[in-house]
Amino acid sequence: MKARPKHELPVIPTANLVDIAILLIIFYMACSNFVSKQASNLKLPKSPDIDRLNEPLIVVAIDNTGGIRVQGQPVSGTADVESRVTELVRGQTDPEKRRVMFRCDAGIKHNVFAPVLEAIVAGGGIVTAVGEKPPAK
Amino acid sequence: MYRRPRKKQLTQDAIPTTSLADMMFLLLIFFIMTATLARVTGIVTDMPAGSKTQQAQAIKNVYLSIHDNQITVDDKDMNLEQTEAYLKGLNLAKRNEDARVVVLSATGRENYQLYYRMMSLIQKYGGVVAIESEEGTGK
Repeated sequence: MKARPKHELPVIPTANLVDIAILLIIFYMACSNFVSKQASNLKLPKSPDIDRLNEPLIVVAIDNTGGIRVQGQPVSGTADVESRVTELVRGQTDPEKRRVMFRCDAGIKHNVFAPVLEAIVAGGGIVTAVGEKPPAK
Repeated sequence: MYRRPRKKQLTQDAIPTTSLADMMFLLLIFFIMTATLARVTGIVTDMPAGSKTQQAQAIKNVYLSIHDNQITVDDKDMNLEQTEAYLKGLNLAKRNEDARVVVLSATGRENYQLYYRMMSLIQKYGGVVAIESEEGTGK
């Protein structure tokens, strides 16, 4: 009797699967928007009356020591904030592109943050004051 | 004649990579599950620029001030709930642009938390926040 030829089961090639997985991991690691390190030592104010927003491109931050940063770079004072904001919003007619994310520590005093807010407005920016929603009780 | 069975070849030339895929997928699942995308929450306040004198004097704006953690709205001391009810009752959203302005002032000692709370309340009820600095140069 003639033996039936053995049919080998088709094998799905999985060697390239690793490469795809690695690429995906690299993608996630590279593209994940980690919490901005600029002035990360600040505690945002809390309010239940805030909404989710699109992240503006311009960031002005005041950390818990009162240090002011524009786009992550320390600035000397409010005059510097105004000139940097003016420079960044120059030629922008779209209000969405003139929005300035204002991140300020909740404990900062009015005499520190108010001049910065005024400088942003004077520089042509639209203030987007960032805060956190208090945890639901 | 007895033939000794061939020894199974124990040494391999290539590094086994079959389990690498499993590990990679575990890592991938870990990243996907644990990644929390940063969400920006806040308020957009289109603060009017310019001094108080440039604004029309005929319009009576709402004045909200914070002094020693005490809220005063149009010369009346209020707590947070009363302030919210007052702002709600003003129907700021139905007013025209200039009449929607709420002048927010504070002493230099007030911290940002209460100020922010007030800004978000004004915004919630359709008001436009105008900062008044201590020197009185309203913006």
